[in-house]
Amino acid sequence: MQPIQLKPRDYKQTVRALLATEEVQAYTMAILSFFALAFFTLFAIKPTLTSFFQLQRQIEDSKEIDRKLEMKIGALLQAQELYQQHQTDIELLDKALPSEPQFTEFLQKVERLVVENESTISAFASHDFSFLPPERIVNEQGKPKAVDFTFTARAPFPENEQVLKTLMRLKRVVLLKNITFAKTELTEEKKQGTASLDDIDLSIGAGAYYLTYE
Amino acid sequence: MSNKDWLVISIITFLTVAVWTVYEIYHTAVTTTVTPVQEKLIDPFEPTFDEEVFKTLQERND
Repeated sequence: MQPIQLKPRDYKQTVRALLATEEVQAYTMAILSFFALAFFTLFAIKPTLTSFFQLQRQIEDSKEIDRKLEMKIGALLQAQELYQQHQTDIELLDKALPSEPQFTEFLQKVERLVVENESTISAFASHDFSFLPPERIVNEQGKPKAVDFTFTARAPFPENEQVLKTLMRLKRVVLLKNITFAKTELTEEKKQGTASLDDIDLSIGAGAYYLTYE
Repeated sequence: MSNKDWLVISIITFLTVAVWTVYEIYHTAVTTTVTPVQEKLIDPFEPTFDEEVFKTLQERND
């Protein structure tokens, strides 16, 4: 087949002449049909089907969300019931992990347990605590934080062991970081017999934990 | 260009549009419409208490 060559003057005549042949008619029909199909697919069928499937997906997702929310509401009601049942027990959690360091109270407890176990505190240090009002912690919500401290108790081994055991049996969460038992130096008091020769130094490095929600 | 070339171009155009449409529909069908906020809201949780913790705490000293 010869390529079509059009001249502006006899354009209409040439087109008529070309379309007169069956082959050109068939080709033209096929080409225009495919272009028309492509056009309608792109601008009519595609948006319609896309909207249809999008809406169907939205309905499915909404049903799923509704089902999961129903489950969550049920779980929340159960949680509320459990909370009411354990309301008194929850206070124990506040004692174990208070919302503020409460280090002064903790310090009193440590002092009391040392005295009760007939030991004496010979040194105490904490770099994480100040007696000034605590600054509000905005970041790291819900993460346990610790006030680290070290102290040395001086007494014979059984008393010091008891101090350690009592410290570990406090409701307040205390994490031991290091423990050292060391013989005390031979002081003048010891030489003269005014201090016990059995005394040993128990050095404890630990952290008292608290949990902030603000 | 001959008529045959035009026919080939029209067929390729149609096929491209058809494949594009099928891909778009598939993509729409499999893409979730749940927003991150909704996902956070429907995040499940188990309403349970560790009773052992309470027992342990009750046994401890103040």
